[in-house]
Amino acid sequence: MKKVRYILLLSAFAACGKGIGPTPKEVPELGVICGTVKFLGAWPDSTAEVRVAVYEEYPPKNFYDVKAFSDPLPVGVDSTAYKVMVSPGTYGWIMVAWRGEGRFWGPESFLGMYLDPDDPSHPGEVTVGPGEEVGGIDILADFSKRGQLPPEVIEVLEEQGVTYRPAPDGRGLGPGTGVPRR
Amino acid sequence: MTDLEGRFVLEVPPGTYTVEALLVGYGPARREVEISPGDTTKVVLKLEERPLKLPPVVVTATKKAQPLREVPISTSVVGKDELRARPAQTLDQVLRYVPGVELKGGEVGIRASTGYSQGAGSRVLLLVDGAPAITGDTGGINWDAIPAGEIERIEVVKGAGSALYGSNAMAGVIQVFTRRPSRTPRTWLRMAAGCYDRPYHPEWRWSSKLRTFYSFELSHSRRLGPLGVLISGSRQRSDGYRQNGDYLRHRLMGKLEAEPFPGSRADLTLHWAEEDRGQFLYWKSQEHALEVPEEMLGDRVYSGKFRFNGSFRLAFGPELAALFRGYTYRTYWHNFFHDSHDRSRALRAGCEARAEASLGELSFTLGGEVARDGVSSSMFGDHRLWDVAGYVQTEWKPSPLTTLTLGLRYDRQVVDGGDKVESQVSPKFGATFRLSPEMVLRASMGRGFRAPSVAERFTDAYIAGFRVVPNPELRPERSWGYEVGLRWTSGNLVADLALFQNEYWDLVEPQAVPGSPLVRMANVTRARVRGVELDLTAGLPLGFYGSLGYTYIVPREGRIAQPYGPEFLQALQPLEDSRELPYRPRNRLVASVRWKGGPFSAEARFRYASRVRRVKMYPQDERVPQYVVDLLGGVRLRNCTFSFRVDNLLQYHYTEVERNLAPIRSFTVTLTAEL
Repeated sequence: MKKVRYILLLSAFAACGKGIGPTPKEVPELGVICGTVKFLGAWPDSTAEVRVAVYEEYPPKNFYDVKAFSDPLPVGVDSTAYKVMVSPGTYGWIMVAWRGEGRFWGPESFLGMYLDPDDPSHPGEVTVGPGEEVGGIDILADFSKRGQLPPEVIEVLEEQGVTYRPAPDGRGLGPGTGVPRR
Repeated sequence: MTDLEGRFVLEVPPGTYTVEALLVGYGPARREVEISPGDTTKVVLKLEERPLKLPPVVVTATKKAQPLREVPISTSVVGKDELRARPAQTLDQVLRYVPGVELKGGEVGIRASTGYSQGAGSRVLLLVDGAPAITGDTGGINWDAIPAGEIERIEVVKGAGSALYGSNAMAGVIQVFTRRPSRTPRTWLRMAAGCYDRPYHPEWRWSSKLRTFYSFELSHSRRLGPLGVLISGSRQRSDGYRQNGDYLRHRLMGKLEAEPFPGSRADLTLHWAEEDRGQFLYWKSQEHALEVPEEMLGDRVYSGKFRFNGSFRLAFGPELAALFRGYTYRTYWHNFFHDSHDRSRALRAGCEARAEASLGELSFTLGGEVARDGVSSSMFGDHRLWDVAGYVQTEWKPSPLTTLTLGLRYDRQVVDGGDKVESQVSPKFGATFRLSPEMVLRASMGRGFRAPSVAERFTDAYIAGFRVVPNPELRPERSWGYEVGLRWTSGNLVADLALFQNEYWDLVEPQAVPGSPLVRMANVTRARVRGVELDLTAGLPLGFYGSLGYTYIVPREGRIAQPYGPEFLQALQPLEDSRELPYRPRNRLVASVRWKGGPFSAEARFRYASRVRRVKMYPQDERVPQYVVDLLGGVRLRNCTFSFRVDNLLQYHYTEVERNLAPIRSFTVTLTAEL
C-alpha cells in the first residue's frame, strides 16, 4: 500500500507542467515550409501585420481561401526567417501579405511571392510530406510594389466580379474598401 | 397514528406484543412488550434519523415534476449537496463536471453540439427559474449573470428540446433553480480568497506580483408576514493569471415569494450584475502564452445585466393547474479595445401561459409564449425580433410500467416588422419501459432549432483584420436528436447508459464572401454526431462516494448526395465526403471520489478530454489532450465550513480555444457561515 501511495505521489509530481510548453512542438502529421523574407523599400508607419500566406493553387480560385498563415513577422526589419506549418500536399502560391492599422486583408495586401528558381517569371510550387520541412523558400517583399498582383490573380478576381486596380498608395480598390466604419 | 407529540394509546388483550413505530425520514423502532391483565404499560420508542432516498424528481425534461426514471431523455442533476461541497464562482465551473457537457471560451455545448462557434449563438438553452437567460443581441450566455452562490439545483437535459422550449434548445436545456426564501430567518455568508501559482515554465512568468482573487457573498432570507424574502449580494475580484485577465464583479438579487391563497404560489426575482474585465483574445506567442500582443494590452469590456422574472402558479385541485410567467433580460456592454469602441444594448422580454391537466392515465400540457428582442448597437444596428409560439404535450401511461410522451411546438419569428419571417414546427416522441424494479429502458427522438441572433444576422464591423458584413438571409440551424438509454438503480449504485445520434443542418459559421474581401455568417455545415455515454454514481463503504461519466463521440461533417424522405429519416442515410467536425474531442471523462467522515470531507476530481483532431483557425498549432485534477478539503465546525481547494493541481497546460491557455494552478480558501 505504501508503495502504491509513493508511486501515485511521484507520478503526480512528475506530471506537473506537462501539456503545452513555451517551445512549440511540431504536429507530426503536418509539414513545414520555411525560408527567408527579404524586405525592400521603406516600411509604412501604419503597418499592423505582415505574414506569409500559403495557397493550394495558382492562381487561387478564391483569394480568401488561404490554407495557412505564418505567425506575424517582425516589423521594420530588412529580412527575417519564417516558418509556416501546413498539411501535407502541394502548394502553388506562397506570398507575403501586409496589413495596415485599421485595414483588412485583401488583394492590396500583396508584397511579393516565392518564385520558381528555374523560371523566375512564375510562382514556385512546393510539395511537403508529413513531418517534412521544406527549406529555402525565400521571398522578396517589395513595399514599392505593394498590391501589384500578378495578372493571373487579377483575372480570377475580375471573373468573380471584383474590379481590382492597385491605387497609388497600394490599397487597391474593390468591394468593401471605403465603406464607413461603424 | 400517534398525535403530533408522538403519543399513542393502544388497548389490547393480555399477551406479548411487538410495538413498531414508523415515521417518514426515520428508521423503524421496535420493542417487545408483555401486557398483563388490567396493566397500563408505558412504551418509549426512540426513532433514529435516516434521510430518505427518494428517487430524484426533475421538471425540465417535460415542464412538469416527474421522477427521473420516467424521463425519456438523458438528464443529469447537480443537487444541493454537490453545490455546497464544491463552492464555485460561476455556473460554468460547476457544469464542467457534468457528463456530456463541454465549455469552450464561454460557449457551452452538449454532446459535441458546439465546438467553438466563433460568434454564433448558444445551441444550448439556459433557463434560470424557468425564464430564458440568453442575451437578446448575441444569443449567448453571460455566466457571470447567474448568481452562483444562490443556486439550489441544476438540471441538464441532453438532446433536442425545441418541442417544449423553442429556439436555442437545439442540443439541450440547462435549467438553474435558485434558492427559495426560507421560512425561518437565515443569514448566509461566504468569503473566499486565493492566488494563482507561478507559471510552471519560467518563460511564461510575466508578472512578479502574486496574482490574487477574492469573493464575498452575503444573503439573508426570512418571512415578512405572508411574504418570503431573500436578498443577496456579492463582490468578486481577480487579478487573473494572465495579462488582461483581471475582473471586478458586483451582483445584487432580491426574491419575493407568497401563497396568496391555498393552492397558489407567486414569486418575483430581480437580479442585477455588472462586470468590468480585461479582454484576452489570443496570446502574444506560445513563448509568451500568458501575455497579449502589446497593442491589445489594456483592452477592456464593461457589461451590465438586469433580469426580472415573475411567475404565478395556481392549482385548481390535483388534476388542473395553470402557470403564468413574465420576464425581461436587459444586457449592456461596451468594448474599450485599442482599435474599436463598440457598444450594444439589448432587451429580451417575454411571457408564457401554461395549463397542465390530468385525466386518469393521460396528462396534457398546453402553453403559449411571446418573446421580443430589441437591440440597439454600434456593431449590429437597431433591430427588433418577435417570437410567437404555441405548444402541446401529452403523456400517457398505458400500463404502470410504461410512459409515452408526445409533443409538438410551433414557432414563428418575425424580424424587423416582417422583413424576414421564419416558421418552425418541432415534434418530439419519448417512451420509458420499466423492465424490472431496478431497470428502466428509454427511447426518444425530437427536433431542435436555433433562430439566428441579431448579431449573426446584422454584424457590420472590422474584426481581427477582416470586415464582417450582415447576412439578413441567414436561416435557422436545425437538428434531430435520437436516443436509446438504460438506467439501472441498485442499492447505492446508479448506472445510466445512452446511445445517441444527433443530426444537424445549416450550422452557422463565419465564411468568406466569394470574390470579395468580406466575411459574413452563413449556413454552412451539415453534421452528424454519434456517440455513447456512461454515467455511474456509487455510494462506497467508509463514507466514500464516487462518480464517473464517460462520453465517446464520432463528430462528422459532410453531405448527403441525394437526400430522400423527411428530415428525420436522413439519419439513416450515409454522410458522404465527411470529415471531422472541428473543436470536438472524441473522448471525455469526468470522475470524482468524495469522502465524508464526521465534520471532515475531501474530494478529488479529474477530467479528461482527448486531443481535438481538427481546428479551423490555427491547425499548425500544437494541440494536447486535457488532464485536469482538482482537490478539495473541508471541515465543518458548528455553523461554519472551512474549505481548501487546489484547481489544476498538476499544473497541466492546455488550450480549449486556440491560443488561449486554460487556467494554471490556483489555491482557494473558503469560509461559509450560516447564522
